[in-house]
Amino acid sequence: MPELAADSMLRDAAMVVGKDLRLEWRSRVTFSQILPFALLVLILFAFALDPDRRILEEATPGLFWLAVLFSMLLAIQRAYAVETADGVIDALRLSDLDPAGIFLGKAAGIGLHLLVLEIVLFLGVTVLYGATPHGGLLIVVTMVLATAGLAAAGSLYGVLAAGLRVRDTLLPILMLPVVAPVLIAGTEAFSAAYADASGEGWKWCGLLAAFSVLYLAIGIFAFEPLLEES
Amino acid sequence: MTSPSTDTGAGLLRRHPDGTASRGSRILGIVLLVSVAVFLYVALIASEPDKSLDAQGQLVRIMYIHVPSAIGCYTAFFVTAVASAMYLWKRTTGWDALAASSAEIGVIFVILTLMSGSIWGHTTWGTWWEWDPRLTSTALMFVLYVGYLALRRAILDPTSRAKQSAILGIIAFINVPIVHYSVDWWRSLHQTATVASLDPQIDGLRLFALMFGMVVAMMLYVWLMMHRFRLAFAEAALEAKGLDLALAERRAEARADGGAVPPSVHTEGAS
Amino acid sequence: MGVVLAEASPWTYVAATYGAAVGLLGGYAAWVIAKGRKVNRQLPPEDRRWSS
Repeated sequence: MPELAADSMLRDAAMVVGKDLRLEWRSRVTFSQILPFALLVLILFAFALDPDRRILEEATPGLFWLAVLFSMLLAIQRAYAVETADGVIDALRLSDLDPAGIFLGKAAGIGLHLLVLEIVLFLGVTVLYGATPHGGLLIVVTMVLATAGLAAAGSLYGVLAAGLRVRDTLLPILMLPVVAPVLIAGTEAFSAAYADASGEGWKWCGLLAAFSVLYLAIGIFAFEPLLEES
Repeated sequence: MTSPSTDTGAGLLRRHPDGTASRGSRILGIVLLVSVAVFLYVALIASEPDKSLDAQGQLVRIMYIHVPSAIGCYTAFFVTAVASAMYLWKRTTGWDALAASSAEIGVIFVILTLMSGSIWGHTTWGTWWEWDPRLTSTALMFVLYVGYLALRRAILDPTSRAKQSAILGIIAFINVPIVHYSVDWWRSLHQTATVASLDPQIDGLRLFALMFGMVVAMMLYVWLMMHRFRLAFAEAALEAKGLDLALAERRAEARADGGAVPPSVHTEGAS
Repeated sequence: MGVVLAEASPWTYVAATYGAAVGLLGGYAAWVIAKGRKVNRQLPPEDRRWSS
């Protein structure tokens, strides 16, 4: 029985994301290591900048997204460390799974982890830096769009670096210049939300949406050759 | 085919027997040297300073380096992207070597663009770095391609390296406009009078110096590419030979384990 | 230092730019040519396809 390509892609994606979430449920690496790291970054920012609240509060949008980017690197490394260990990546390659489905599954897994991280970090900056947000809808939309873009780019660059001996040092330099637009757009959109000027922020969401769509598209097409070679 | 060592030219066209030069690259090199001399004469001596920049009119000469090197790096990265796409289509070593060579030369041009831009900025803004959108996005592009070269160094297997870096070469180039526009947008929000970029008045001999600078940059790019590409190609050949040698050694070892062949047949040539 | 630089003649900046250009590009070209000779020396002549 012929099956629609998109259907099998999504089914495979669901399978991969289910596997990753089960793995996280058993190992709790994100929960017990990456999440505390993200909170630690927030505390370190307070040490670096004057804890007298004014600077921190003003810089909250940028610091929030910086903390997200740093934790994201760990999350991506974790997401592919579980694949490269014990030759699992060979198993993925040889499995009958659609590579685009694997890409989407990995991206969705990274994205879900990132969303949890962002929610916790958001509570963190609200409590620790005393920044009160306005424009809740803008905040939520920015988070979702930025997460989609970061997850897509992360899933793509993660597989590029996976399996290399220097992956831990290579991933940041490959990835951070690429996601710089997400940092810019996320920060500007949050600034608008905190300043109660949501109108300014929405156009940055447009940039985030374009970034996400582009990287999802690149990933769907480029993942197959990358997976073969990693 | 004629033996390559017999024909290394004579006079000005004489080439080092082990070098990466060919007759064509040598001729281009001579033209390039003459052009550089003419360019330096026009850019530094013959052309007038820019009166619209007041006392600092001589500074317009920095532009004759800055703009051509910026054009050079964009060209180089464009060639990297095209060669990467061609590699994914044809899967031949040549396209991979072309992409790698072009990216490396592009990084050199990007460094020069950043340095001259920073020096120009210092004279205009009084600081070595201002968050000028063009300069900032160029800095990001620099890191992007340093990452590309880093990936190339990190992967040992030639085929796998070629394929992965071809994909990265294309993605990196797609990134250039995204980074450019987002940085542009970002700065236009905060743009204050102090960071206004000063566009000098360019006409007459100044225009000629700028245009000729671009021509020289293109010639320099092509000449560097000829040499760098041949170096990359030779490295690939050496790599393949090393692999063959290693394979031969393995086979010889296997045979030696069988006890039939003495293990001394494969040792020469491994320098 | 900053004051000295701010009052330096425009020619200092121009010289620095042109010096950087010549140094960087010349240095890179010299490196490529030297490396090319070194690598080629390890290759048999029949593998050097361009030198005919």
